[in-house]
Amino acid sequence: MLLNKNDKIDLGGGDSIVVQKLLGEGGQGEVYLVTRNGQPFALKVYKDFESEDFRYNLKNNIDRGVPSEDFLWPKQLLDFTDGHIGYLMDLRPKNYVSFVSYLTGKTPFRSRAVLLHWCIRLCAAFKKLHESGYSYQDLNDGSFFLDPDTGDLLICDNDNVTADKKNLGILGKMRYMAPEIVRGEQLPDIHSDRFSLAVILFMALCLGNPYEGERLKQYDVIDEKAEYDLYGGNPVFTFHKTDRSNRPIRGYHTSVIRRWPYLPLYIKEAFHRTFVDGLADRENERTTELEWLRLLSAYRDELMTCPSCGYEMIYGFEEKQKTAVCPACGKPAPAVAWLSVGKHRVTLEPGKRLYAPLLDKFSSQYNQEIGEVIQNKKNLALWGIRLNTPQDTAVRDTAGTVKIIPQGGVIPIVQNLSIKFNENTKGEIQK
Amino acid sequence: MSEERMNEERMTGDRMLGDGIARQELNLMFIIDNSGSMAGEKLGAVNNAIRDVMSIMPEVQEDTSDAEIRISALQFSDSAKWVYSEPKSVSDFKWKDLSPEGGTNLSAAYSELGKWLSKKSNGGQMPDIGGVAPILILMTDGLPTSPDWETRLNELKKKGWFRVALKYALAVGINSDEAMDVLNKFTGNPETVLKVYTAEALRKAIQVIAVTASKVKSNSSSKGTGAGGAVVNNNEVAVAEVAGKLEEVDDIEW
Repeated sequence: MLLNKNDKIDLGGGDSIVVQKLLGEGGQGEVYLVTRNGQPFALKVYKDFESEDFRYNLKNNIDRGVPSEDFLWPKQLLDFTDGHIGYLMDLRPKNYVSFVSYLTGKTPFRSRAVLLHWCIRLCAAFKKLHESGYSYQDLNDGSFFLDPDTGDLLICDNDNVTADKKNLGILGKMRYMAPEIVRGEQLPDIHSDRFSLAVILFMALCLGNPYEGERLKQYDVIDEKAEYDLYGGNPVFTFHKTDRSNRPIRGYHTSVIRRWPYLPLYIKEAFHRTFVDGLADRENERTTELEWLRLLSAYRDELMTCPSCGYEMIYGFEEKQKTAVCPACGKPAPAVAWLSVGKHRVTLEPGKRLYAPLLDKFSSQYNQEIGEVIQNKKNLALWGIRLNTPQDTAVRDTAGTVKIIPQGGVIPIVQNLSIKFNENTKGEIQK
Repeated sequence: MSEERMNEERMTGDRMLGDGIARQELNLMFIIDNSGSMAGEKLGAVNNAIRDVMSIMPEVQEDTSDAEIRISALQFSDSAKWVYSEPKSVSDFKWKDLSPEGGTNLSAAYSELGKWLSKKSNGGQMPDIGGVAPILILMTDGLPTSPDWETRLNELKKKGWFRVALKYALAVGINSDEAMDVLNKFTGNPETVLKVYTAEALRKAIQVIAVTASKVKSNSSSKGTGAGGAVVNNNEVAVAEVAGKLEEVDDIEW
C-alpha cells in the first residue's frame, strides 16, 4: 500500500484530503476513498514513477474537462513529494454494477430496451470522445459500469485517454484489441477504438466474443501463439458469411448461438462489416459511432414484448417478415401496431418510449424521450401516445375527421391514423 | 425483494437464451507437502494462506469476464491425493485444513499432477476448449523420500499443460543445494524458486503468488511500444509483478 488510513495530503491553498481506506488495486495503481472538507472522493495513485509525458497528458485531460457526463473523469492532479502522481475523481455511485457482472450473468439488465439504451449511451459517449480529438486506447470488459434498471452508463479507467495518434505505452487487452495492434503494425487510435467498441457491443448483445469459435479446438492451451493467431494473425469472425471455419461451438458458446439469430439484419451487417471488411480497411469499414447510434435506435424502436415470457423480440421490418413466434418461449408473437415517420418505424406497446430522432432526423439526442405509449387505466384495450413535444399535433382518421391534439395530449392508437407532428413531419399508424 | 429474485424478474425471456458468456478456464493449483516434517507452524501457515487467498479470490474473479478461475489442491506425503476430485470454482472451493503425516513422496505427486494435466476428454481435468496456461505452486520443506522423482518429472514435462504453466516452488526452510536442485528442476527457472524461512513469509508468499498471478493472467492490458506486437508472455509479467510485491517481505530469498 502506498498510503495509509488517516494520511493527510496537502493540496495547497489550505486545502487538503484525508485517506480513509483502500478501495481497490489494479495493474497501474491503487484507488483510495478520501475525504476533502468532509466530502468523499476517490483518489488514484500510480505505483510506478510515471513519465513526464504521462503526467502532462493527465493534466491536459483534466484541464480540458470531461467529454460527456458518462465519463468518470480525473478532476485534479496530485504530485506527491516522493515523485509519485495521482488524481482525484468522483466516487462511482452505488447504483452502478460492472459490465463484467452483466456478462457473467450475475446482474441482467431490466429489459432488452434498457440494454439497448446502455449501448446507445456508450456509442454516444465515444462519439463525443472522438469528436473531442481523443482516443481511449484500452477498451475492455473492465472499463464500463451500468445501472441495470435505467441503462445509465459510467466509463472508468480514463487514464490512457490521449489525443488521437498519440500513445503513452498502453496497447490494450487481448480479445478486445484490434488485430493490427496485436500484430504490432499500429498503435491504438480512433480506428482501433472503433474495433474494440464493436467487440464490446457484440458482447453486450450476444454474450460472446466475435472471434471465438471452432478454431479454439486447434489449440491445446490458449497460449501466446494461439492468442496471436486468434486475435491478430488470422482472426475469423464466428458469423463470417462465407468462411464457416470458426462458428461458435455448440454446448460451449451457448449464449451467442442462441442470441445472434434474433438480432436485426442491419445489426448483423454492421458487425460483419467491422469484423470482416474492417480487418483490411481499418479506416473505412469499421462501423462508426454515428452509424451504431442509428442502427441501435432502430433496433430499440422495433422491439415488441412476448406476452407469455416477457422476451423482447424484433418486429422484423428489415427482414420483411414479422417475427411469428417468440424466440425464447416459442409462443406466438404479439400483434402490434407501429408508427411510421419517414423511414422510422416504431412498434407501439404500453411502456414504449419515443425518442427525439423520430421527429427530427438531424437530432443527435438518441436518448432524449419525446413521448411514451400509455394504456387507458379504465379500458386496458385503449392505447395512446402521450407526446411531450412543444407544439400541437393534428390527426386524421380514415373517415377524414381531423382533430387537434394539444400539447401534452394523447394520440389514440388507431389503425391508419395519419399524424401531422409539424409542417415537415408526418406519420401514420399501421398494423 | 431479494437480489436474486429481482434478477430473476429482469430479462426473464432473454435469460432463456443463455445467461452468461463462455469463459476460458484458468487453473490455479496448490501442490502441498504435508509430510510429518511440515507439522506445526509450517502447515499452519499453508492452511492460513490458502484461506486468505480464498477470501480475496472472489474480487479477482469479479473483475474479469474473460477467465473463469478454477482451483485445485494436491497433498502429498506417503502418497498423493487431490483435496477435491475436480477443479472447483472460486465460490465452490472450500479449504479443509491439512494434517501432517508420513514421508515426502514427490513421485506420487508428479504422477497425480500428470494425470490431472490432460484434457477432460483424455481422462484429465483440463478443459477441452479454451484453457489458459495454469499456475502451479509447489511447497515443500525437504528432500523427496521417493527415489524416482526425476523420472516422474521427466514424464510430467512431456505434458503441454505443464510446459506452458507458470510454475513456482516454495522451499520452506531448506538450505541444502540438493533439495534446492529438486525445486529448480520443477520450475525450470531459478527465478520462481523462493526460499522462505518463516511461517509468516510462507503465508505471504503463497498469498502474493496466487493472487497476483491469477490477476495478471485473467485480467491485464498489454503495455509497450507496440513494436513486435502486443502479445505478451503473461507468465513473465506475473513473475515481475510477484517479485515487486515480495521485495519488501523479510525472510524470502531468491
